[in-house]
Amino acid sequence: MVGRDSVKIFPIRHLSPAGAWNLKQYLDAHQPEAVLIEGPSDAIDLIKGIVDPQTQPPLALMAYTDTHPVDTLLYPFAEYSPEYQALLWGKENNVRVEWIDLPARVFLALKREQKNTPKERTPNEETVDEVYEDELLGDSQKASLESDSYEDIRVRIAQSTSEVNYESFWERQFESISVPVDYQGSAYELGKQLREYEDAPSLIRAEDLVREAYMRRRIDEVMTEGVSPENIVVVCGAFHASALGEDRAALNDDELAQLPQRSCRLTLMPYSYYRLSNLSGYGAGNQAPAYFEMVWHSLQADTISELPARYLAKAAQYLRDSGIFRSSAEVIEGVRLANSLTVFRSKNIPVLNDLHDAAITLLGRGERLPVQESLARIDIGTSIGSVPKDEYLVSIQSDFKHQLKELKLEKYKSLVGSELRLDLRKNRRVKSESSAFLDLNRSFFFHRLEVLGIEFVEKLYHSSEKSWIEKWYLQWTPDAEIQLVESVLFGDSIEAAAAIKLGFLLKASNTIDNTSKLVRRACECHLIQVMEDAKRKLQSLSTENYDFLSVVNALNELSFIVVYGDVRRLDTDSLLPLVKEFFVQACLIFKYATNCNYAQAKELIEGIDKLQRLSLDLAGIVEAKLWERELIRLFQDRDQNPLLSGYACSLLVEQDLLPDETLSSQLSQRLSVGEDPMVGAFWFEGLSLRKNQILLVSQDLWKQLDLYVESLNQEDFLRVLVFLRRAFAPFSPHEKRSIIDRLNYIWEDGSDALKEFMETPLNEEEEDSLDALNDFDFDDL
Amino acid sequence: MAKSKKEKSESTDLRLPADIQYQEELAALQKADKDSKPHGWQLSPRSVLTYICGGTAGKKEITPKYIGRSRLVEIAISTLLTDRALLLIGEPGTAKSWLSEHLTAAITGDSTKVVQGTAGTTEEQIRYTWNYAMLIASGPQPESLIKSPILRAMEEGTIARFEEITRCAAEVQDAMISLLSEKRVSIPELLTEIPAQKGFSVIATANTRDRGVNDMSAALKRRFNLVVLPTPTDIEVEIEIVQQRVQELSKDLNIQAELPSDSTVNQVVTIFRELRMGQTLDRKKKVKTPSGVLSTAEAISLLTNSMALAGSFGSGEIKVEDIAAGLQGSVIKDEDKDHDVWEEYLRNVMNKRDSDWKKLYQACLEIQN
Repeated sequence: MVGRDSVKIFPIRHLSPAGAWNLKQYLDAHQPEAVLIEGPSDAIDLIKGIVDPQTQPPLALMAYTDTHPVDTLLYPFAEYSPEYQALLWGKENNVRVEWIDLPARVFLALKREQKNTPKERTPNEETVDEVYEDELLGDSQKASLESDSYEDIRVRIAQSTSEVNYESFWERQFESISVPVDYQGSAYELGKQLREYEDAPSLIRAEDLVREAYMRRRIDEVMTEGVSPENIVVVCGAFHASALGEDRAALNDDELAQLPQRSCRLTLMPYSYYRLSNLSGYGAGNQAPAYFEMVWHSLQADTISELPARYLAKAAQYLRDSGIFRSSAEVIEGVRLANSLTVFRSKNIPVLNDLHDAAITLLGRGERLPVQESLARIDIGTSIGSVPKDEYLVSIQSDFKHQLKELKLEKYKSLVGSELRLDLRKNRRVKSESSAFLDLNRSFFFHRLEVLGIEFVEKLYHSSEKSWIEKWYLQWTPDAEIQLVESVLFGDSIEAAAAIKLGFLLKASNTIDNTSKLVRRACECHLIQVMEDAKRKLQSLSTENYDFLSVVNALNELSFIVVYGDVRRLDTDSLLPLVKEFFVQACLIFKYATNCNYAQAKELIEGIDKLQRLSLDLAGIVEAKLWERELIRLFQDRDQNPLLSGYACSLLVEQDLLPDETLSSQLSQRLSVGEDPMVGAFWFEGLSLRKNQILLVSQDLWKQLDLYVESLNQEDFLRVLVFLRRAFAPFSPHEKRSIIDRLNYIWEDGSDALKEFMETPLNEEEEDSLDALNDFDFDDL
Repeated sequence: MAKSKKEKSESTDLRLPADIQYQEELAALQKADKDSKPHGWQLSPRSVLTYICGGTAGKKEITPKYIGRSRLVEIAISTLLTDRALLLIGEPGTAKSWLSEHLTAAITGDSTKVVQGTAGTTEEQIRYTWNYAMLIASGPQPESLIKSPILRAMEEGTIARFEEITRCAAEVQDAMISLLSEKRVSIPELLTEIPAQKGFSVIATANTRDRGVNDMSAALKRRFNLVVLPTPTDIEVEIEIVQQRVQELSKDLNIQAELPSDSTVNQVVTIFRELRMGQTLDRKKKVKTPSGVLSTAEAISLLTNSMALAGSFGSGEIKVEDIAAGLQGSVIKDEDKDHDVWEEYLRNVMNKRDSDWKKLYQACLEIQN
């Protein structure tokens, strides 16, 4: 084939506003007959959807396999994508526009082969791949997947141009047109030199070579159809630009036939700037889509020199909205600083990084924190695109459908509700792995839907003690369909979306209680990665926390997973260190909680019980000794709440941790004349709360109590009576009788008179006098 | 400038100003400088950056004066380019004054126009005062006027330094407002005013720990560009700083003990960093932060103290017990909370480290109980 060298190649960086602007100028100037764009050849039918007037970028062209395992390819477009502008130009000028990259069905098959060879990755990562990721090192995903040489080049380019980072280099060199730039030529050179870089072999993947050969073939095809080469413009990533010349052969028919294929579908989906930015975890795209949109509009309106002022004024405005006042004078100084920062660079054009630093120095008064949110709002923005809905079924809908089938749930997708009981244990009567855990997998699926707020499932509470039983109510509604479609913004499959949504919840969660529940939810959804993150967050929150009860509650949630994780096929070992830490922490902060008033002490007792139970349940995992130490301290320390002190005493007696003489000396101290009678009464109430049998039969206790009551004067007696009465209230008649026996023994009274007296109900007069005590002034106790 | 410059070699001064100590480097930079210089600057912005962050000028090697993010230095220099005043803020021991001295040395060649902010600093020290004997003898005359360093800098169009600005009383700080916005000082006694010449600016420093003592007014803050200097970002850098300073100090103080081993320095710096940042170095765990500063300077003094202990009362070799005692003293300042922070750190973080840490852990735990 002759003449491919005469084809006009316009190298770009995907998502580059200046690229889009220059390309448009170029197309206007050259008026080609055909525009060939790097994009999946089999997506030709979707072009009319992309340029449809109803379509609003950001959007993404998505290809996904309709067989298991699901793989996805994404081609995101923003308004300032050169490809998008080229498509629009083609429509306006009625010029033939075509995709020339490998068909998605081949691409997906290649991806799968790649995935099967290297080391395993987490399921969340496996579902989505972006295509527009590699060119001109514009992407961090590749950096993380490929060797260090990638990052290395970025750093070296930045260093050699004395820029802060590669993005700043690119932006300063390419994204501004206030100094005229040969975008086309420079991008071509940069791409070419990258290929010639010493480490190039690790940059150019086999996949890239196939793609380039295929693109050459497609260009040749268009030429054979009679379009002369000078009238063809090829828009492709700059990295590929130098590889489309005549010196390289096009892919021939045999080679084409050998390429693997996987059946797949293509659709358009709305995309968001949030996902486009790196924050969302997807690699391709730029860190600041809303900022680049600003650049694009400034280019269009020829007001690019006003950009710094516009940017910083907006930042100040957002700050004012959030209640931090910043004057225009500071914005002016910010612009001046941004401009003077460029004195260390090759061109006097402030880039995003300079604007950030100017905003931090002036608007943030030297600190990033106050301006961080405002900057994120300007950089990323909240734009979400839209596509004509009916025509394009969204990926998550297909995934949902697929899951229903897999889990044999199709018949439940009905407007009539029905109940479903799940047994999470392994079904041993069936052979295949998937049917043995059918109910468990259903449970995971339902919990994920629940996380996404898709009102198809509702968990019912059941009274059964069996933790492996779950009951669900299933009913399909049109609302659920909408909720499902909306969930696509979190992810392309139910699993990925649930993971991301839980991630958001996790980010927003700032209490221990809440976060520990998220750990449990992630466990119920079987999202291991999220569970790990939740765990980490929990750990980090715990260090800020001094609330004993919430630590104990969190510990309780965790121990639930540790104990019942087995049935959900979870490896709970990783939770053990956290459980240990929480235990240590609960013990350490216990002493701040125990110095409290009566009402708080009552609340605390529940927590103490829980921790006591956990220290026994988790014996062998946690350092139970620490808890014992705390109990002993509480028991001995006179400054702590007497109710709790008494309670601790009772717990220690139960575990046989107190020598008899310590107990009796404490008893006599607590109930002695020197002690405030109220303290003694509270202490006794605490002691008797657990209705401890060992104490009930302790002769010593009742003797001391007897001496104590004897020692009280009339007024004090009236004061403590109410509390003593309350302390005795929970005892059963049987227990009361045994107490009377003890007392009879002490008083050496053989008769049953006391017993009879106790068992006769109170008469009216006595009732009244007790009631009167309720109005007694108890000072501030 | 009418100032007679001392020669470095002849001087017996305890400490030389930066512009004299590094005059060779400055001269080399000046010679090699090809970029345009802003009005009143003796070096171009790029050369100033090289002077501070290190590099080469012609064949001469320029030692880095500030180790840390060079971007912060860029922002500082750019600020001075826009004739704005610069305020360097940071924890104690983050090289604020050091940086301000070297910036003025590089830009103006004179780092000695300094006002030291204290609780006793008065407005006169910022503006001007009189030679009272002359004032009484001959009335207000230009000759009896004593100009403050800031006023002199205004006249000469150079940069003045204002150390620890937040230690001054609020009304003294306020005197800076009119000075920085009007860029002139009026002297009503002489019926005249002194306008600032091009190139005038002020570099002030303030300590974050002083906040709340004499907080800066919003009005004054608005007249400064604020640059916050962080504590060393990188553990390697901090270890290097600590090792270097410990060595220097032990030489100066003539301590008869061996230098702490690399692993000891590493451990101490690690503990300090983790407690200061509130997370472990691998970022996997959060830890509580104690109430004290735990600055790099404190790590240095901890190690020198241990050395002094070992040299004077011990075998000349630092023992883990000395380090453990020092650590406890540094971490637990006065609050009860610190005690728990330290215990939690010991049990949850240090306990899980490898065998190198075992001895230190045991020693710390023993003291703790």
